[in-house]
Amino acid sequence: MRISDKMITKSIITNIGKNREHMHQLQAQAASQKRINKPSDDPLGLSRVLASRESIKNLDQNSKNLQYALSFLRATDRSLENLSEVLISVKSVALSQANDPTSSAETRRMMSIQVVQAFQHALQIANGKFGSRFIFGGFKTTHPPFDHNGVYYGDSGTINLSLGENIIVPLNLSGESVFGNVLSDDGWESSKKEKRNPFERAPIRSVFKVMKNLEIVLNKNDTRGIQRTLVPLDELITQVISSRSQIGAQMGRLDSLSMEIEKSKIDQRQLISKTEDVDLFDLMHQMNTAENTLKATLDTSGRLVSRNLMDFLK
Amino acid sequence: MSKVSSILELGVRSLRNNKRGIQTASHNIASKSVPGYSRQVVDFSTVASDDSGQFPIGKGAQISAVRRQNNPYLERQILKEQNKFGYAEGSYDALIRAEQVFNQMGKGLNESMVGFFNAFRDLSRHPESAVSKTLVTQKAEELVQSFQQIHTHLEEIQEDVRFQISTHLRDINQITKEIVELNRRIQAIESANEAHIQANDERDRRDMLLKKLGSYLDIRYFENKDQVFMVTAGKSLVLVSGNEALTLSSALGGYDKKNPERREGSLDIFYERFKGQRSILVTEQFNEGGKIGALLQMQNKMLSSLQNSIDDLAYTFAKEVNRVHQLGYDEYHKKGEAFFVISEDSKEAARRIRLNENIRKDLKKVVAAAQPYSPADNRIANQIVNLQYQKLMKEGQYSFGEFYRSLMSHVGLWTQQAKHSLDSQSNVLQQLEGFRESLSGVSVDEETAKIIDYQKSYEASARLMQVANELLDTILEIKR
Repeated sequence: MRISDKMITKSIITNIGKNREHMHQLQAQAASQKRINKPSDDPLGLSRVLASRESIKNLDQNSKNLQYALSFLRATDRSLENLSEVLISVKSVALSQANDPTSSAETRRMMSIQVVQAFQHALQIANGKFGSRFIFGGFKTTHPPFDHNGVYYGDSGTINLSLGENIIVPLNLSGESVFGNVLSDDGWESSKKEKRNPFERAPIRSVFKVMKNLEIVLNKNDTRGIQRTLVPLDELITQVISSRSQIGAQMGRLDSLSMEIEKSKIDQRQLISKTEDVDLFDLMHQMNTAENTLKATLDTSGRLVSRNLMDFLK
Repeated sequence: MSKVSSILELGVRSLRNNKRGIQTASHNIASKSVPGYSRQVVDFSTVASDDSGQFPIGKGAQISAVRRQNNPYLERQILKEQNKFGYAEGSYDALIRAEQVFNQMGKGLNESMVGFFNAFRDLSRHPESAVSKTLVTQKAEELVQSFQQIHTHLEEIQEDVRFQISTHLRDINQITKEIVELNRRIQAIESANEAHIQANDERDRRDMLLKKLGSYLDIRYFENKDQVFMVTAGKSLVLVSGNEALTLSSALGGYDKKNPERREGSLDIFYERFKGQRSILVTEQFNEGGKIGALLQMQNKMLSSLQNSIDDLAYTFAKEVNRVHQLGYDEYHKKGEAFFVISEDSKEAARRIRLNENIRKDLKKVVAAAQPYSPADNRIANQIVNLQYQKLMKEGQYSFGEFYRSLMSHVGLWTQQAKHSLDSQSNVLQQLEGFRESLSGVSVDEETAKIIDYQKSYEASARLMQVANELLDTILEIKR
């Protein structure tokens, strides 16, 4: 085939250009350590990488919320533990003053003061805070939910946290479900011995009403009255235990959810790396090859352009 | 009628021929770098012999033609491939810019949407807190900015495409004017003479201009036996006919029912038939191929559809957030206001979307609660968070994030394909141009050899004339 001068020049320029373009691409990869520097490098891969990144950000945020939930539940649990101790000590007061021969009107009056103190303590627990929030107010977390008589001014709202797609976790127990309603519960054992369905939830007793009753009967030296507080006090203690086990189960669920979230994050990061990261050894090898190719092209190009007939005419 | 003088005549002619040969070879060497140049060859043929005597006596050589080494069929093929190359190039250049829009690894629209939803997750944990509400409005502002940035970026690319269209049209007008001028010259040169004189350089230049024109748009060209030359663009627009060329221009076009999704501000192509008459719309002659075709496709279809999709995303996003936000109650115990400000439909939504000014100024209007007087009520906040997972785009097929990512993948794929197309077209074109060069290109070695050859012949002819002269002298001396 006849070769004109321009063909030689053109092919030199084109070949060098191709080599340099290839090297340019490799350099971009080496500088960023990423295979994908723009969507056209791997459109579907990039899409997956972005989805994983979004996932990780969501997981981080969910993790934050989850940690908060765990702390909140722990605080709730501690409050319930304290409440439990208060109720147990009140019950032992009632027991001793109901039957004990060492008790008297005098002792009963003194014990009634102790019960008043216990009442105050329970009130303190009921109006407890976590951070800036009142724990037992339902949605009304900005003001103390219980007044000095134990009347509940909060609501029954459940604060739910979303910790993932379709993962909704309740955070709180409302004041009423733990401390009962002073206004609707008379504080005494139910006189009617009707057969209650054991699977039905027992009605919530009022902590404050029962304790108030005990204070009154102690003052009045009413031993029969004192005895009648024993069963309600038992019911209250059971009530608190059941709330605590609810919280405990919730915390267990959150612990395993926390581990799942961490594992998900690791999986996503691996996926990103597999798709996006450059294989350094392979890249280095390619760059070496490209460099050698360029050198060879430049070398041969130099030889092609040097001579023509004019050089040899005398 | 001395045979001697015919020898002289032969010698003179031979000198002239060789001189012409050297001239042509020099012209080739000098014009080596002229774009589109085809090397010229001198054709010699023998002069009719003198049959008057006993034997036919040859009367030497003459130049029968100076013609260019050129394959018109190859030229047409190259034109076709130039056209495809122009299309690939036009598409690739615009798409490379479009994919930049989606290339912001850390600050793109995807990140802003995620940030927005995570701010609401924060809020759901602490609806009573002013800090959470501040974060929500901040992230909302970032999101609004992201939408506006994408809009601006895409609009800039559109403007560049439009600028290129009008610039190329100006180039085309210049080319067609020059073709008309060349037509005139070629006709003048070639019809004036009896002999088959070819206007070689003018034809070379015209061929080159045609190829350049062909890279911009689909053209066909014809020449009749009287050297009248015609160029048609597209299916039926006569761009150049004999001595006239149309002047093309671009202007804002209206609604185009073949391209319903194209945006306001799109250009159409016109020409003026007679001075002062209404311009005639001819865009669809240019739609199919070449650089102009690619730019029109970008303007009317690809970029427009991207812009429309982004608008769709902004509109639906804002609408859904507003819907949920307005179900709840703010800290003033009033029903929630619309969170974002948007217009009634999705047109230009990405440009127009704003955070509600009232909410921006007063954090208490950020709604998290589903009922009034419930400080820790986070049900609305949770619902907004949930919007991230729901398939609200494209008739329930994609979530917001998925929709954006699929747009990005599409642009990436288009760009990839355009690159492949460009590379393969470039190879084809290179090969064809290689063939052309092989036939029509100048090789200095070759021309040098020819010059040496002609020079030697010139010397021989001169020597011959000297001999003839001596012969004549000898004859004249007889008669002294």
